[in-house]
Amino acid sequence: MELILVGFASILNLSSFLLIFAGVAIGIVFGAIPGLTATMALALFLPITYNMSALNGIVLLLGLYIGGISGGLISAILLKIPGTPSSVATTFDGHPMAMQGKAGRALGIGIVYSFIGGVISLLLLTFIAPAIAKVAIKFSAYEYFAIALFAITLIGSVSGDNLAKGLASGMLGIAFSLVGMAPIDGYPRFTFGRYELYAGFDILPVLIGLFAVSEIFLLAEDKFKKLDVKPMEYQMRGFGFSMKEFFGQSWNAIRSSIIGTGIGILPGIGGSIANMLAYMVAKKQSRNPEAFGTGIMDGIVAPESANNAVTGGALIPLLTLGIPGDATTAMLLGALMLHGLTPGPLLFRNNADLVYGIFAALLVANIFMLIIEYFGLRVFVKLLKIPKHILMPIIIVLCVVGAFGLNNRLFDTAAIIFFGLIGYGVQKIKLPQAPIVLGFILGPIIEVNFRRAVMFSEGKLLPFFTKPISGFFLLLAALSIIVPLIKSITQNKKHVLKK
Amino acid sequence: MHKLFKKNMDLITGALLFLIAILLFVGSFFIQERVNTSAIGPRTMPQIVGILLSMTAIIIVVDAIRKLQMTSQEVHTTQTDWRTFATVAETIVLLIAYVLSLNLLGFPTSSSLYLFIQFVILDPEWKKKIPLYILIAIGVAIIIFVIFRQFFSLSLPTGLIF
Repeated sequence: MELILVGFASILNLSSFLLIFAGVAIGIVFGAIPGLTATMALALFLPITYNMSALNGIVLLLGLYIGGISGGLISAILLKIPGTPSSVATTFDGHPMAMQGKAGRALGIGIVYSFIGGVISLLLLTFIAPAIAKVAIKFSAYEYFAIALFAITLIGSVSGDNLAKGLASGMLGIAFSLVGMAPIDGYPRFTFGRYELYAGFDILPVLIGLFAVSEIFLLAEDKFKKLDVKPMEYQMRGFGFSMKEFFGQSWNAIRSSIIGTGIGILPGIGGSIANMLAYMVAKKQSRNPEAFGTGIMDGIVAPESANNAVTGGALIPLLTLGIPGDATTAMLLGALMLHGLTPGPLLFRNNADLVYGIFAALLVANIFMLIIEYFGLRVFVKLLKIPKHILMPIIIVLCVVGAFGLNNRLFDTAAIIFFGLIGYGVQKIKLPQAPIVLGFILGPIIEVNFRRAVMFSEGKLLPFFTKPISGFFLLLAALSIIVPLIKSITQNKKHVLKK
Repeated sequence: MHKLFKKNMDLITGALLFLIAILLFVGSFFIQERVNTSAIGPRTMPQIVGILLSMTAIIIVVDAIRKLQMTSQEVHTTQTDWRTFATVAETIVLLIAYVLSLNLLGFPTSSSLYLFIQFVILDPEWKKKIPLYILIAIGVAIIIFVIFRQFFSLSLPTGLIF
């Protein structure tokens, strides 16, 4: 409790509040405009934080994160185009409700339940994270290796439609992380004699390239497609629902928030799946599932509380273990490391003020999100009309600035173009993008801990399996590959039998 | 052969991944390491990743071939026409030129040029909007340059000309 107060004290100043405010507002814009995402917003604004204090930098990025996840509901409801992948399920009932002339009500519900989802997950984060950190402080190289390995197999098996492709993407990510000096003994690998490559690729150019630069190539493909963006008209009166309706949705909101937080904790899954899953569960448990899709309140409450609940969940493995839950938290990891902070259990011991400052900032960001999104709606809707062919090139220029600012060298600027082409290429050959990022981050964690552990056990591999926590996660890793494999084999058989 | 590839994109994906896997595995033998090293050294990880990647690549290819045999009808493919391809190619060339020109022309000039040309590439009706695009391109480049120099003390390249 005392620590929570310390956390609030550390952000109770004008500059922190302004940064959170700006972050949330800009985040909502990025969330609302289809094609721009929260990850992109973080990638673009990370360079601005270079010269800020660690906490100020992080609170700005957290604001962007919270706003970016929530902003997607605006276009999901008014355009029937999800602003971010996290708001796909919001279109199912949000848009039909808007079509009935109740767009204001749909937006009000979405905004309020985004807030509720965010706050519930924040509560869970505040109580779960320190407990996990206490356990994690006893982890050795064996446990870190096993958890990171589990994370990468899980990412591979859940993202995309195909297990082999997901895993292949993860492996590609690891392959990119191999460039540079090997851990422990420092032998250069795949540097082709270029000294810039000795330190390896930095996470920032990789993310900017994969998630921002690649978008301009996709936009170039749409040159001759006519895309008319005409947001629907709406009327806001209050939040558009009664107290009775609010209490009627309590269980739905809590359940969806718990689903969102849980999905957030699992590495590599993220808001897009939480949003869908919460919607499907709400429909299954409903007394009248056939009403879903016609524009009912339940169908907006579930996906919108779930996707914002992911934020608190995803921060749990990031802060306690240094393992990011999705591409957006991977950016936060990059930001923490830029400021010389290594997320992990020690962060809770050595930088408790920062950790609790993050918790406090999240609460403030959620409150700002509620206020800004409600009162600023007109502005956000207007921004939806900015043509993409003007917006995207400007974003590219900002990407170049960000990459250059990292080390003041053009090499990183070239790297974002390189990874932009990779990001475009993998989308063309239908590989999922997210596992590449997670592979890139988890690869070095897997390798360094593997080699440390093997050195410690003098070359024996058995301790990986006999240590309880490490053995447990290795078992989970194996299961996360075997279970989908069996599923796909039985499905194939059914398919053949049908033929 | 060309038609076969068009029918199933996954064949290309698998083949490409397999090629990368082989490069990774073969490349690992060029990594320097101590002579009397233990079994696990700097080459281990690239080799493991190479092997696993090649396995996933094989699965993807086998899967693709099986799908081809199962479905005799045309598998859905997106038709890429030449105009679209040209737009993407122009964008790629432009981006590379942009980055290469930064040190020579400096950030404000390079960025203005990049923005203007990119607008033109992306908008089929650019001819009507030339003055507007020139204004946006120069304005945005200068605003970004000034903001980052003044407020975030980022020294962007000024170039050799101005």
